[in-house]
Amino acid sequence: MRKKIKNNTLLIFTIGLVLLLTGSVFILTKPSYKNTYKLKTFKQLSSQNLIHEYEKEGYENFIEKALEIDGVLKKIHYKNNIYTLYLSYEANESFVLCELQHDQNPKIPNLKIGDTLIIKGILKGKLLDIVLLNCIII
Amino acid sequence: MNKITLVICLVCCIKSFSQNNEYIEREGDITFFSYTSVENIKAKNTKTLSIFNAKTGDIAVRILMRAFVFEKSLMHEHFNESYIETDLYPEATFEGKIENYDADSAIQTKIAKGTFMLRNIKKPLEFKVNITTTDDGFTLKGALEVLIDDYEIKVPALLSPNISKKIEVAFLFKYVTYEK
Repeated sequence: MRKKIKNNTLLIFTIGLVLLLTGSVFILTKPSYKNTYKLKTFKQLSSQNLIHEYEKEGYENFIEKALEIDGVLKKIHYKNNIYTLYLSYEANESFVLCELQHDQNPKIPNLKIGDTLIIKGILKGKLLDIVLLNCIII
Repeated sequence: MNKITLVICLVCCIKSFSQNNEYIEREGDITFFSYTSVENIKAKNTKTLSIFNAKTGDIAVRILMRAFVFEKSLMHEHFNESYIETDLYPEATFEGKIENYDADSAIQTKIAKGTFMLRNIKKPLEFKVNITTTDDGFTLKGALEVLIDDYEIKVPALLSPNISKKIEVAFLFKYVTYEK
């Protein structure tokens, strides 16, 4: 009887240890890549309205949120196998920069400067331009 | 009438001249590395903003700290929440000048000197920079070291062996004419 209890304790301890190690490995090695398709859209905005809302509501409300932005495509920039789309948001020097996820590359040949696009991406902040990463074309 | 025309032409010329000396990089690369025996950490930011004055050698850089991309999500989380505290300090900046910059030289290696601000802490910084004139502007490339203690970045004792005290930073900026 005592041996059975001892065996059960050992079994529970071993299972617990395996679960703990599996969990730790999962957390430590989880890639930082986010699939924007699976993220819930926080807000839909035109690129013109984005900057006004951003300044009015405060930057912390938008940071790291998935936003859907529509705007006119002004430029496509390619660097290190990554495409960045420049959407204009006002008749000024600034843009909304949307860095695309790799799986969006096949869509690039179908884009034309002047097209109106809807982009979903994660807002990282604003310097001269507003920066969104992990973008997808909707 | 002629005087008015002359003044307008002069203003336009001055404006045009000053604009042509300024070059912009909206998607500059900054990579940092932390090498330790326990773990190597690398992160890259490809959305750094920089303006370079090709007449004076003045250079200004703004780095969005949240735009660094890490290999693992836990590294990203620690960087934003514990080390840099990006909610409080979303940007790092550098303002400086390339010493003895020669506007007529196509390829040159010089020393850049200026002030680097991280977590609202300003420190003087100097580093070697390679400057190349290209068809449509300039390329600036270089590397430097940043000490985490200088910017009061606190690493918990448990994670201390994983983070190097000296962070290696590399940058590559490709500037084109800044049309305002």
